Amino acid sequence: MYLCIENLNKIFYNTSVVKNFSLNIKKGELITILGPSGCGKTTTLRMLGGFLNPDSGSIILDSVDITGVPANKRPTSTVFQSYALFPHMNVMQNVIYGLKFKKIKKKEAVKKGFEMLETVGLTGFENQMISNLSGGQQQRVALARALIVSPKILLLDEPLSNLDAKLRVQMRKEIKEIQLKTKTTAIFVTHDQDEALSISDRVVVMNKGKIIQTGTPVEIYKTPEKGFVAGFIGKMNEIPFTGSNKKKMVRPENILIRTFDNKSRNTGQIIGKQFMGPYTTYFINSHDHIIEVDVSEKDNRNWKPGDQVNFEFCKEIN
Amino acid sequence: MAGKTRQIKNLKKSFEIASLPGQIIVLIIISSVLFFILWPVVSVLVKSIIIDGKIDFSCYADLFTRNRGLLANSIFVACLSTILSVFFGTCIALYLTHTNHFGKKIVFGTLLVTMISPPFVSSLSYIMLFGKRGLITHNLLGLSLNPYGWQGIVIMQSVGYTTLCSLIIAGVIRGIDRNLEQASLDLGAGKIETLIKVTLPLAKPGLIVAALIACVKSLSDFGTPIIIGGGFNVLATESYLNVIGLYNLPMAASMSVLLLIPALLAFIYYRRQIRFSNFFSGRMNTNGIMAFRITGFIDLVIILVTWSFVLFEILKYSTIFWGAFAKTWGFNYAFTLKHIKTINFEKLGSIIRSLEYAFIAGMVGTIIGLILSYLIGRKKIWGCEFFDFISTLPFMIPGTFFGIGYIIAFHDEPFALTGTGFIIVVNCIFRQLPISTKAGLAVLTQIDPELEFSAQDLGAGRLSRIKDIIFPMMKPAFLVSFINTFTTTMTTIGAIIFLISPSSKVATVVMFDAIQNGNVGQGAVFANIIIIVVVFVNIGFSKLLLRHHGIRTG
Amino acid sequence: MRLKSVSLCFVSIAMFLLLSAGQALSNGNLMMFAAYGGKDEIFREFKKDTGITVEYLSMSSGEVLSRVRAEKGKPIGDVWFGGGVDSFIAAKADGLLEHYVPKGAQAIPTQFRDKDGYWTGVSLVTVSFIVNKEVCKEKGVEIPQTWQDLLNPAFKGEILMSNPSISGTAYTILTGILQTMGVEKGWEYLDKLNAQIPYYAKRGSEPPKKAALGEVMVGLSPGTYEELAKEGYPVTGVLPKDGTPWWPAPAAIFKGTKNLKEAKAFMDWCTSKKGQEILKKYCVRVPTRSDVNPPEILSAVKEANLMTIDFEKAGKERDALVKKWQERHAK
Repeated sequence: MYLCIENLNKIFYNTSVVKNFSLNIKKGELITILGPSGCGKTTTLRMLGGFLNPDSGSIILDSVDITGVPANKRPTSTVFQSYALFPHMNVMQNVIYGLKFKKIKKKEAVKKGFEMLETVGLTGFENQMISNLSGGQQQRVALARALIVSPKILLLDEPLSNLDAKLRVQMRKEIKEIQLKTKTTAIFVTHDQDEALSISDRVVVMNKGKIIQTGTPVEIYKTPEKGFVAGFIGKMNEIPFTGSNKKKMVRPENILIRTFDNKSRNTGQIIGKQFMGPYTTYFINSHDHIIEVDVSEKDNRNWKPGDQVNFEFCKEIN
Repeated sequence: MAGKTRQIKNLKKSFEIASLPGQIIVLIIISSVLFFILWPVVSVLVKSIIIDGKIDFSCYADLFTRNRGLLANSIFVACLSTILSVFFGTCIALYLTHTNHFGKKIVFGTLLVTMISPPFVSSLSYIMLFGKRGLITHNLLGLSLNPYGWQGIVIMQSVGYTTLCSLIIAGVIRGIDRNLEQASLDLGAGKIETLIKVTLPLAKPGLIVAALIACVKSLSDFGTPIIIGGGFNVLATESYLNVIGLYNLPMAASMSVLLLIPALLAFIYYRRQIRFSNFFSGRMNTNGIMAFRITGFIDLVIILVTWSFVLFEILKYSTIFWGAFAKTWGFNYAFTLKHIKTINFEKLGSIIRSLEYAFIAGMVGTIIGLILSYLIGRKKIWGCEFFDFISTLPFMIPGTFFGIGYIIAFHDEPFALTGTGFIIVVNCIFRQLPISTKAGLAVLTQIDPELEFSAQDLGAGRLSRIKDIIFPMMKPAFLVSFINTFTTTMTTIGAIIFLISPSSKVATVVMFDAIQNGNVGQGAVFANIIIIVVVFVNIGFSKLLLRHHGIRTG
Repeated sequence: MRLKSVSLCFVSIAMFLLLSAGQALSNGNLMMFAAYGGKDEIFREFKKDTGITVEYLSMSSGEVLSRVRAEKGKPIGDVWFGGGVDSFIAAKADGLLEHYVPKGAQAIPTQFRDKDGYWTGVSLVTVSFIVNKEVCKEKGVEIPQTWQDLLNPAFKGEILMSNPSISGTAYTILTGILQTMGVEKGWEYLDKLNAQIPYYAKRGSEPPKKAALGEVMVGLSPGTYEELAKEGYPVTGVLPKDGTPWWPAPAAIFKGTKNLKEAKAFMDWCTSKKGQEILKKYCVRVPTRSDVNPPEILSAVKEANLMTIDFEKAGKERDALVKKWQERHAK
């Protein structure tokens, strides 16, 4: 394994923030750590970056134990949530800052800087000041600055959270492309499941300092662990079986609405609807239990609140 | 959210331990703060109670019996001057922020120039204008008023401190969220109610700081009472005379300690009320909304106060200016160059020496202040609250106290430094350290800690981070600190008059001499040279430092 | 990048200067504490003659005395030039002065110099009333000629004198009046005079200045009115007919000076014939050398009724008298 993280623990003020975090990562993988605010994902990233020392556990990168190595000596680099670009330097100065400490000559550094700016699509921006750049451009500078030192691991701390929805989608695509092009091993921290599912090779879901589930995006989505993961990733209906404690887990898009007839056991009344663009969400009251159903536009038959309907499950999980 | 800030705090803590050169710097800074601030203060306290090797409270007993009047006088004058200068300052600040009247640039320019106020000449021009045979009172109005006494002191002090009060209060009022004022107006409150119930309470931190500064300055001012106090004596004057005339250090020390008490009380109150650093940040928080415009009676008061102040200052400064060219100060106003001609090579030497001292003090003081602010604000070194307090001490203790402290502390071996130029520079540096440190802290709190992380992440060690990231970003603080220390060193006399020796005579002392010897015209020439030099250096330094700044922030 | 090197340059210059400022004390120049007119010109002439540069600080003699006492033997300078003789006598008694009889001393009458050779008078200072003629005329008051004239109710609040604890002039007035009128009558007179004085100035030079500006009518001052009159102020000077306080303005060397040779050179120079002529030229006073004529405008001094003052006694009594004065009259 390229990166072995074993039993990382961190305690702040008697609160265990990260508990027994263990993870193995292959070279060139893009791993996402996904979880709600305060789940310990940023703390984990800071420990990997060397900004925090773990209370116990070890980090072994490329067969070297880097657990106690300070950030400036660690072959990792981070893209921060705020980008943390140096406002008193221009784009080029920002990008090649890290090369200074690799004892690379200025001339060569600038050459590398141009190459890197081309990679991130910022050719021609080298002399701009940071404050003149848009959010997306700043994001690219931050990425270029982190990548230019050829880190063994690239750490991204919620890098897209400051961008608007459309840009976010575009940037995550670009980040993935650049990651593939540069063959960089990367760990991406986010609380946005769309981001996690769309770009990762594997997703690590964390809650309350612990890893709950690790798997490919498809595994995580299709076979989520019961409880937290199932609720956190996508929407999930939990429908009780009649006369049993067991519950049926069904995603809203896996339910079909049918015209009412008496034969079906699954009946209910539409009590609300929300138009979501590509699909419409209906809320059905079935035996005093609210079920969400997403109907894609081409299947939508425009049920109205008050309508009695039948519904059926096209795919069931467990 | 709370979790996040806590996290960041911990992140700061876990930054790697300083490298060896770093540790040495920290050690030097900390020990110099202790040595040049705490030690003199402690020395004064000790001196006031140990007489001839025995603990003796007779000085205090004397003060509370025979000299009780002095303390009362000091407090009386300080209270009046504080109230008036805060009132004037508030009016002028409102004129700048909450009215639409003309001449704001003139008002602001007046404030900036009057920040540079060489000692004594103000009082002399007051006598020339409003004395028994003053230009205005006698020649113009035909009066023969007695300008000597507490009234004169209060007028000169309150007008003198109005400048600083205006700038501080205006800074705070500018930072108030305009939405709050708009909300108040929306909810049906009148402009006056909004002003009194919303704007001024929100500006309270600024008002308190302004009052504190005015109060401490007034308590420690001995120059004004000496010249226009007449028979009205205050503690600062007496303690000055006790040092200069009688060299009765125990008595002077105990008077200084007494002066410290009200200053300390005011300061403790202020510490409990607010944090200081906000005042130097100059953060604009207007959200693009214009401040409401004050109208009616209050507007009239504001206009009246503002322009009276401007007029008074223009009169004062033109008097000083003309004094350099008038044949006989206060008597014959015909033009002459004879005073200018008396400025010979030796006299110019003192100006060059002043410049040299002020430049060193500005540079070194700024560097120490900024490093200290970094240690307090970012490194959270051991006992940093204690250092924060110590480094704020010179701000609240009267200048004479600080000067006396230096004579006592650095008079005997092994720390015998009196009589050197070094001691004067050091005195100026540490006297202004609070402003330097606070300016640094204000900027530092606005620098995202992630910037430092990211530099470290890219391979920058601690020194590189400070050199590449922190210092360049602290340029505004550098500017504030340098200009403040430079200007005060050029114009100070209170604290250093006790420390001057023949070989370290600075421009203010020569000016003082000239005035003492009746050569007021020559004193005026010096005052003008000081004002002009300081204005030029300050403008030049700002231009040099902010050369590229415009592009970045623009 | 360039800015960085510029600021680095600044910092190193500042550090260098800071360190060099510490060494300013021992630069081989003559350190002088002086209370004398025309210092710049006098010291320039001195340099011309001897090549020695003088650095001085103006300080009244009381200040110098307290400072040198406080420093307990650590010399604050090399030479003490001018001021009230009482402070010199007190300093001599405390062992703070260096014994030196300058080369020119033989030409100076013994009453103007220390019999033991610790200080030497270089010129005579007389106390006079500096009176603002214009205000007197406006108020229709005669110009006062005697100490008794000062008690005229018209002068209430119009007479300024400096504080005897600081000013040598004021102390000489105090001791002169007590010695000539007798202790009892003297204090009686001083009590009455005190009632006329609004406050005691903190600086010896303040009374004549305030009189010149018309802020008071009479200022008690060392030296003469001529310089103020030359400036254009409407003042005249009166040497009180019923006794003019006076003293010899001394020069002395501080004990333990590092520049003894230069200090002696100055003592010799200012008691030499040439030196005395120069002193007279730049600070109008009667020279102590009998072979140097007084300045013409001071010819009146010859006829003045100089008080008979025992300076030794005055010096010895100084602390006690000042204390008594403070208790009685300090305002």
